Amino acid sequence: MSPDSTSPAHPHGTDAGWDLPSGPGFLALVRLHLRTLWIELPVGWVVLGGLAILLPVSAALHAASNIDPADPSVAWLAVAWLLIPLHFLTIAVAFLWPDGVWREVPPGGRLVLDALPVGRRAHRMARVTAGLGLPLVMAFSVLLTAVFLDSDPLFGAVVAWVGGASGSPAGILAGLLSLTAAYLLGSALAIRFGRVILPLSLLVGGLVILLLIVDGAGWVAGEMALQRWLFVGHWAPGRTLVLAASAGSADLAPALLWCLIFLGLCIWWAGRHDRA
Amino acid sequence: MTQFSRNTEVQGGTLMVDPITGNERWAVHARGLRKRYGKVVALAGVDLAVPEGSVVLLAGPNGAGKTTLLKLLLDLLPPDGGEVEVLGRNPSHRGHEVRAGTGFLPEEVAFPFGRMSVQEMIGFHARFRPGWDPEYAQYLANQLELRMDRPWKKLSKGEARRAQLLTALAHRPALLLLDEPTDGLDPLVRERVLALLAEHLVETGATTLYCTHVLHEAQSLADRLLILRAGSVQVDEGIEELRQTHRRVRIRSRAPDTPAPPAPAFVVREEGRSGEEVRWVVRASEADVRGWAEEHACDVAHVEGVSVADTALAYLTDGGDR
Repeated sequence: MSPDSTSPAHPHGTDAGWDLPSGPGFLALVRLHLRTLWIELPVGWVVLGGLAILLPVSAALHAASNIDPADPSVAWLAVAWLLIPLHFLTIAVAFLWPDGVWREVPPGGRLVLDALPVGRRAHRMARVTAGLGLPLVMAFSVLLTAVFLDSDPLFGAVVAWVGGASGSPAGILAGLLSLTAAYLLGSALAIRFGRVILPLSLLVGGLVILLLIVDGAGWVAGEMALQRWLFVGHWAPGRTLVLAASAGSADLAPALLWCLIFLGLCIWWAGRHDRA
Repeated sequence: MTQFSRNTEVQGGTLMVDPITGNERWAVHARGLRKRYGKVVALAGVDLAVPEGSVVLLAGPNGAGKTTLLKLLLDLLPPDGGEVEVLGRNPSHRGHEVRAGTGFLPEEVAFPFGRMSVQEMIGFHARFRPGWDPEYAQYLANQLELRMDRPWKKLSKGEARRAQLLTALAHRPALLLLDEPTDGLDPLVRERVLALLAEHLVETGATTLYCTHVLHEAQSLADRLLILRAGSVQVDEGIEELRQTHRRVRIRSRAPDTPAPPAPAFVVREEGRSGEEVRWVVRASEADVRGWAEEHACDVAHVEGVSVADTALAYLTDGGDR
């Protein structure tokens, strides 16, 4: 049939009488994908969720008891030593989960989701946001455990890694923000490059090489400045991403700042690569 | 046959004619639609106008641009040029609205959440579709004999295809885009699916683009044939028109041992030639063929109608671009 009789040139379309209700909004999408995560990862939720409850409860019981700190039970040692791997596991999940969301996993799966009647950008962000739930629960558990163990001199050195500043509510908040920042950086890298590990390795490797070059050049002031900016300084992104709550003070402002920066990157790159 | 009446409304209304202008509405309207993948041209300026309620059989060889066309209509791919309007919307600006009114059965059998059961997968889709009809979904599930408690990742290709079909139909979309809907189905299930599709189309009047390589199975559903070849529309005609204008003929040279003459312009495809006899699919009236035969000292040995599938095949073979 000849298409000459009318023109589809109207930029947004003519509507022509079709009433087409859209799908759910952003929050409903997040809820929907939380439920999906529960269906997809039941063991993960049960195991990690169980640990998330068990750890702080155990630590609280320990803190309330009068056990000799010089002679702790194996159980208490296990709790303390579990914290560090759990902390890094949480951060690893935070980086890797968005990888699966933004890449086409499994093949063709993204087409199915993109064909649904919601904005693609909002939908992917909702999936990323829903995926943040489990790491946040874990991070909260780790930090809460650290709070209880913090006063124990034996475990002080251990928990300093994961919760040196977690004795305060602001410390816990800073820790959660740092995790969210890590999650959003993982999302941003996945959106932009389709993967997380490779660009992250290149980023870290590049920074290390830069440090070595500065060190080799004997530019002490430059090396110090770079180290401070990357890992030590108040606004250091490295410390925010991994060790935000371990610096002895609750650095809310830098964690929040990096969260916003990475969220902005996510939105910007999502806009540019929406149809990729 | 079913508890759903013939008057069941298609999502977005049942009007076949615009009450204001009296004109047909175009469910799909494209002009000069272009798409490239690097140096490969997928669509080279496609003009297309599909009236509301029409069922279009979309055919073409592999790589002709059929799947690309469907994806462009849903804004799953951005066009490189041209204009397109689907259900009155420009997909580039209001893609989610277009997708709301569309039931899409993609070529790929995929779903990202493999642990979900069929029931959960259907529920997942239902939450995205305000017009979802749970009773109709249940009816379709029964007809398609879906095992609702089976995890998606354990489904055979045919089972997954049937589940996908349900999600494409159960919200009674105004537009159906079906990409090889019977791919992976055994012959019995294929028959059942085709019958179900026919029933759905009669009841809802949904505009349909039915993309397939198995033309004979869908020719009874369609009222138009659209053939894409090398990214361009080669044929875009009504089924009835095709039936009336195309026929298969057998021509025989009157002089013994004299080969039949070469094919004239009205021949779409030469199906065979042996000595003084030749078989053609032609686009011409019987009278025109007989007139031509008389002029060339030939007899018309046989004339018969030709199926839509065979007509399409004629255009798809190398000789079809005469």
